[in-house]
Amino acid sequence: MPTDEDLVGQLARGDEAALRELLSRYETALSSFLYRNTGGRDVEDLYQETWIRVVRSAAKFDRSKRFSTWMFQIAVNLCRDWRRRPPPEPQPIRDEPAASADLARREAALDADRLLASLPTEQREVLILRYYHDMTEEQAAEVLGCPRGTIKSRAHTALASLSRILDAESGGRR
Amino acid sequence: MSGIDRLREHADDCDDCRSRPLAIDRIDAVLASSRVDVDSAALSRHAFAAVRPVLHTAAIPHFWRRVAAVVAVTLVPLPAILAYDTVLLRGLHMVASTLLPGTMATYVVFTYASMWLLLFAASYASIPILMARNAPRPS
Repeated sequence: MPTDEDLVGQLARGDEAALRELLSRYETALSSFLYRNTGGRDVEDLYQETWIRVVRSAAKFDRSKRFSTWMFQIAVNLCRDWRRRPPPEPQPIRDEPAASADLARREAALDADRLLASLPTEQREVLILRYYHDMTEEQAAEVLGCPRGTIKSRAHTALASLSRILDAESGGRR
Repeated sequence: MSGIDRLREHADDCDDCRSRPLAIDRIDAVLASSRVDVDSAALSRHAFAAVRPVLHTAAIPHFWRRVAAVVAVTLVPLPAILAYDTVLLRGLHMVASTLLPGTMATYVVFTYASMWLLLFAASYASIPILMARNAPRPS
C-alpha cells in the first residue's frame, strides 16, 4: 500500500487514482477539522480549496515531512484567511421538526460547538488538533507554525477557559 | 490515543494544570458530544470534480521535464553511434568502389547514408511526438 507521501509524488505527475486515494484517506479528518474550525460554514469551499492547493503544490512537497501535517497547515491557513473575510448576510433560521432523542443529541452538539466557538481562534485550533485529531504537541506545533511551548500554554488556557465556563454554567443551573 | 488521553497527557505534563486541576472529564464529555454534520464522501466527490482540471494543468510542467530528460538520455550514445556508422559507410564505399565506377559508388553510398540519416532523425523526432500523445490535457 503506497504511503501518503508516495501518493503526493504521483499527484505531481497528474495521477487521478492518487488523488482519489488521498481524498478517501483524509475526507473525514479534513472535513471535520474545517467544520469545527469554522462552525460549519463554507466547509465545502474550504475543502475544495485545500485540495486545489495540495495539488498545485504537490511538486514542491518535501517528502521528508508528513503529508497530513502539510495538508493541515494548508487548511489552517485557509481557515485564517476565511476568518478575515467580511461576514455573510444572516440566513433565515429553518424550523425543522425533530425527534426528542435527536433534539437532545443536537443540543449536546450545539453545546460543544458553542464552547469551541467561545475560544479564541489560536486556542480553538490547538484544542481541535489535539483533542479531535489526536496530534501530539510536536505535530500541532508544526501544523500551526509555533513552538511546542506555545501549544502547551494555549492548550492550558483553552482548558482553563472551558473549565471556567462549565463551572459557571453548572453553578447557574444549581 | 483518544481525545481524553491527549487532554490527560497535557494535564499530567503541564505545571499550571497540576497546580490547579481542571475538570478534564467534564470537558471531555462536552467535546465528545460534538457532531460533524457534513457528508464527507459528497464533499470528496465535488472536490474531485473541481480539482481534476487543476491536477492535469499542474502535471504539464512535470511531463515536459520528463520528455526533456528522456530526449537527453537518448542523445548520450549519439556520438558513438555516428562514429560507428561513419566507419561502416567508409567500408561500404570501399567495397562499392571495387565493384562500381567511383562516382557511381559514391552516389550509392551517399543515397544510402541520406536515407539512413532521415530514418535516424525521424526516430529521434518521434520520441517527444509519441510522448506528447500521453501528455496531460486540462479539461
